Amino acid sequence: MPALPSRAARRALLPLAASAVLLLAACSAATGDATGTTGTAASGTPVSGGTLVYASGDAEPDCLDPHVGGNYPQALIAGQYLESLVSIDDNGRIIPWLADSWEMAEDGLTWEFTLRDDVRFSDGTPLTAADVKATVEHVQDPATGSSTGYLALGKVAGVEAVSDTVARFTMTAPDSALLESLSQPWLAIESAAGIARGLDENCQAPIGTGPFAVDGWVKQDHVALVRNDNYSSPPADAAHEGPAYLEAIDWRFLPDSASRYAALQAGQVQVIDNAQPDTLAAAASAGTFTEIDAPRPGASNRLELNSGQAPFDDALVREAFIRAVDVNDGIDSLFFGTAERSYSALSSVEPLGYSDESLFGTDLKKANALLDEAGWSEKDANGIRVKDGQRLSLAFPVSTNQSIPAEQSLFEQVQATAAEAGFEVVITPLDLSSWYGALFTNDYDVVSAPYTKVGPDVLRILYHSDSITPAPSGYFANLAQLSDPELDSLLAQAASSLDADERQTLYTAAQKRILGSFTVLPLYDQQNHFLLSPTLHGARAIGTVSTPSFYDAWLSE
Amino acid sequence: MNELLDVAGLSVRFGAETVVQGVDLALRPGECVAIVGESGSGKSVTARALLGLAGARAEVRADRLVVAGRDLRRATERQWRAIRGTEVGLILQDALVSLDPLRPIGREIGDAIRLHERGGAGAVQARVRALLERVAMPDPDAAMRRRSGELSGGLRQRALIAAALALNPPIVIADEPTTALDVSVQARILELLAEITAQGTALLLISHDLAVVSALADRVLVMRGGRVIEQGSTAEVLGAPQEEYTKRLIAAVPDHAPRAAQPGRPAHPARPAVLAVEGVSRSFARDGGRVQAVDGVSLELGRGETLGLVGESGSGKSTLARILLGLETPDAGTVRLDGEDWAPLPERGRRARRHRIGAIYQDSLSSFDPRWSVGRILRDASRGAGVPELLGQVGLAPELAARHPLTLSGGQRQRVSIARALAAEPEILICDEPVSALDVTVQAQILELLGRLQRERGLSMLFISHDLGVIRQLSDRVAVMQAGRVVEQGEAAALFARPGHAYTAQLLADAPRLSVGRVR
Amino acid sequence: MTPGSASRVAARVAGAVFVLWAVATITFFALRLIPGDPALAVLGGPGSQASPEALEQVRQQYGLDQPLAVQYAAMLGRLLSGDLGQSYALKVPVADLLGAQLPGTVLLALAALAVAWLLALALALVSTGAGRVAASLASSIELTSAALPHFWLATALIALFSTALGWFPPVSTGDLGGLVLPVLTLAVPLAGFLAAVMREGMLDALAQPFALSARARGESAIGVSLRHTIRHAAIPAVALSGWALGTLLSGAVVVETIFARPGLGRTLLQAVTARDVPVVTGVVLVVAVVYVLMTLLSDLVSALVDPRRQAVAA
Repeated sequence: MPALPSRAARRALLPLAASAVLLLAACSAATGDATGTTGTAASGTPVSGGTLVYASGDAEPDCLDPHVGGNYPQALIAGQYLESLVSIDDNGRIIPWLADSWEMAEDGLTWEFTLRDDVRFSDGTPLTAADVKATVEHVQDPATGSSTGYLALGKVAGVEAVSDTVARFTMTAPDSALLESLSQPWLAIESAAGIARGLDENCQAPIGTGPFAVDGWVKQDHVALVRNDNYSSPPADAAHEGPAYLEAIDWRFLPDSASRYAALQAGQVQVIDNAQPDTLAAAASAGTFTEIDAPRPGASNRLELNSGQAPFDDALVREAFIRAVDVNDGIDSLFFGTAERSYSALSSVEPLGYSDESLFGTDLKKANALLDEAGWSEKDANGIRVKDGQRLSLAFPVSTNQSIPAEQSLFEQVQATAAEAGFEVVITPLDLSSWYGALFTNDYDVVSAPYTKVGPDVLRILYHSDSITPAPSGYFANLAQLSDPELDSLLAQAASSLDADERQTLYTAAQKRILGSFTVLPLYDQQNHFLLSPTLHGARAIGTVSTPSFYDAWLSE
Repeated sequence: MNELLDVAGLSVRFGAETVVQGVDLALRPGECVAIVGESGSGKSVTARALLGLAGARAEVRADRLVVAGRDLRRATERQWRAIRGTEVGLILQDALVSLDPLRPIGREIGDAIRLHERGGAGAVQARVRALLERVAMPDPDAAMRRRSGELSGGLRQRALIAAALALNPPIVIADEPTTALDVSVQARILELLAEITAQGTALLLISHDLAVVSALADRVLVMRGGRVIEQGSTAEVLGAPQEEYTKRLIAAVPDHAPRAAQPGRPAHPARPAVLAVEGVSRSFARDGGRVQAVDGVSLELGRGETLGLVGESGSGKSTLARILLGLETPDAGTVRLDGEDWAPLPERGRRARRHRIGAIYQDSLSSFDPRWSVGRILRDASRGAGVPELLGQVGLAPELAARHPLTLSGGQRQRVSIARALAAEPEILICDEPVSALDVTVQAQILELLGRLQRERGLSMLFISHDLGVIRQLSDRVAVMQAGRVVEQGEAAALFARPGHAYTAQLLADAPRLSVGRVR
Repeated sequence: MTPGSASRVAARVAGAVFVLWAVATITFFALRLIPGDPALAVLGGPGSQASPEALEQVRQQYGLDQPLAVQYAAMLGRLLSGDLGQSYALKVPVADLLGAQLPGTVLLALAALAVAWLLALALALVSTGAGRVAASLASSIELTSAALPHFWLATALIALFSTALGWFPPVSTGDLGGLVLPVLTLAVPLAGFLAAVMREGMLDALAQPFALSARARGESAIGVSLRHTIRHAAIPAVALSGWALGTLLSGAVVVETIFARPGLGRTLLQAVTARDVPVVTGVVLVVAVVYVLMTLLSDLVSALVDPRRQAVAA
């Protein structure tokens, strides 16, 4: 049964309709470019020069140094001026970047990275192992306030600069995820001298080895990046060598989705990120713009059920919920076909992801039967199930900062279909801080919380029972509150397993248990779409955290 | 025939309603013609039609409509604008709102000149000054920079006249030019208008005040229901009226013998004072200084008598009335009601006795809640009497109880005011200018009603007015107030015959009297 | 200065100080009441997995471990000495941050006010006395435009003037062209409101005898409008302008976000989301100051336009 677009979707459609009508009325001879998932095929000869204007829909970072904090907006921009020891190619394989080669000891307790010897920072100073050491110490220093990077280096005891080009990592335990962690921009290598300037200055303009460098930052307006003429360290899968073609990048912050697209259409900007479904559909029909579809790594976008308290402490109720909820039609219509249904806890870009569609088929009869079996056989006047005087009511706080309107409408679909089995889902839209507040106080039964990390080790962060214990800030990552000793053991083993095949087997088994616990309802990949102007060539999303790289990019006029 | 204005068969219609019908009018230089009538008679519409300002929806037709030698029956707006101000000037009532209160009067007057003639700012200013001198404005240079609200009533009326005279129009139409003014000021303005007429301007005077008309006009037209029912020289119309209506109008003017001479009214013996005022004073803060509104006033209201309180604007009579009603607290002095303290006193000491003093005001419309029906107003005030009974006492039909004050005529509204005041069964009635806003015939009816009610109920009345004729008709005793003080009080007849104080004498001299057979 | 006006001025100043104190107090307690730990705001938001040492350090450094009353007194003390504090999230002095953002918002608001006035005057002049059809048409236009929500209008204007016609850029470019659509978005709803008020004032003035006096002098209908009734119509509009600027400042939040203009509105939105207490307090105080000044200014202009009020001013 096709789901009618909810009121919210219709609201989103109105300006779209207005825009669409006017778009169609506007004269534009459209020549379509092939839509690639990783980037545009460079057509023609690259031209040096020009300023690229990038419009980001993400929040403006508080600090341009991704060591501080560590969120996605920082990754987006830091990818232009900072580089990591290793990168990941389109097939998910680790490839050399700043590190030419690396070696792990037999016991897995030491790693040696050999750096390229021809790399210079944007200030002209050469890259040495001392900078790697300074970077790791910077991330591990509590005063820096790193969260993502800090966690990723959890098993790193220390780094030693054995020589100018060799850095030795000493581990407290074998870490199968180290290379994946080091590929992330939150552990990108910064100049020791730059770090030594102090937190405030480093936040303004970190010194890195990237193809561009930070030239200036006008808060709430834009960040100016200029070409690094000393550049010599593209990753192994780059298209050329030497400095970048573009002379400068003007990185702007445009929070409103419709305005971003309008700016792209007007030619004011050449790239926009966070392109939402309605914009993507409009771009597709106009045929003028190129799309890059680069799902973020780590977990998929999923609903998690709080198994730590009633009613979801009962597995039957959980399964009933998952069987009752129907999201496929909603995803199709609300996302205009730009998002594909996922049946895995991991992103589709993760090679070790495991998917099982059979667990998530909608079956209302089965859902009702399960609920009856679980003792929720009575219903009140509104059709909501009741047991021992309690209503089957679920709290669903939704973060309006993280969920786009299409997703919020999808949640309303979840609410509606769950109601058919007798669940009452109470959706509460909240701003970010209030949403975290609700999570910290256990005031949720259903929640959608994305998590971006490279590699399957993210499963340990999300589903190991250790992650139920909150940090001093109140934050904890295991929102499903899954406490399964067998799963814990699988994840711990996989985290230190140094054999690739064994690792795969372990992670597959772990994912089977996770999906089988019915604490997770996968929806789709973490959506990460970019739209590019036809004048921009050679841009691509790199395989680490799916951030854009403009190293090979050039503008034609 | 050197008529400046020649109108024959003038009619004005608003849609289906004919407001003016078959009016003939002629004006010669130096002549003053008056149109008298009550509200709704069509006199103002006639005046405006002569300027082409009867309104966008008005249909004006005439057999002849010649103004200053031009046939204006089918005049365009442009042609009308050419004669407005240059050939015909207009003076309206109440300069406070007839001049733009936001602009200095110098500019208002200057506008009239600038609209029709070219001239540098200096030349215009000089002419404005000359005009102000012509209307005897003291200190013209300072006055030019003032706004109408900053001048006194008389001075701003002079400014309004100056604006009308700016381009020396041969015809001036004055629509109720002195109605809003105090008696003495009115007298001065009438002198000014007479002077202008003597200088050769033709004056068309619209008024409901026969006394004013008799002072100025050479000829009179009486209008009723849109038609001229009688016309002739002033002596003819006012001295020997032919029509019933005209006779009624004249009879209604309160100018006859003082009250004591009326039959059924005993001579005035000493009476016990029901309201005793002693040394009452009240001042207000205004503009950084203090204004003494009431200054050491002492008087007495005897039981069953009518005390008339005469004064011009600013004399403090309204403030005194408010003190007597207990709405203001005096700074000094006392008021006693039947021997007991009444003011100054905390309100709870008065509440039980409040019903003994009632009040009637000039503007009955704003003294009612416009959302309440008449019935509700009376029920709210009543102490037991039924609404039909109350209405009957003031001569109103019981059906009026369902109507709202806005839909009633001025006279009916004032009757409702009286009914409301009486509903509380008071012993004392304070009337603050209760008939000033009414047509003269209606005024006569209301005064007659008040007189009758007083006789029937033995009410004691304090009657405040600036109209000496009205005071004369009703009062047993009279007090005259000037600048917060009572300058004279005594028996009405005696006071009017032989005023003791110079101010009283001046008031009496200035009051226009309807004198028949007056020769100009 | 007369004693009367001196005491009036003193009363105004005292009133303004009271408003600022009240605003600071309410903001302080309001931000404490909503969920969200300010210490986390310093460390990059509630999602940050900050270590206990880091949290402790931040709490001590910013005095967040003190009792609420002590924190409040400390804030008042800082404000009295003119120190707006430092942004938790951005680590820059609030005064600097606001100083950079304020001009943009003020420019936007003042421009919108001016354009609203022009539009309202034009509509009121054209529709007054032009007949019943014109009057009801004007009335509908006023009502519709006053009811338009900013976010819808912004999107519609972008779709029409930017995407379809290409006349103006959809987002701020730093020059005057980029100012047009944001200003229109703010000005049109306000213009509808002001026009209704002005037309009321004009009709009222036209019914007064002085309009007749003016016509009787030979003034044309337009002349009466321009020389007389405009001023009377302006009186209520001027009185409303102080309040109007307040609504413009709050409308700026939406407009600055959609058109990506730097300004106080965007700053405030981000600061509230991040629970950046000093910035929120700073912005709210600045807005309150602007409000107080604008109200004072509108009172002064009122007294100029309508001298009858001078005696009753303040």
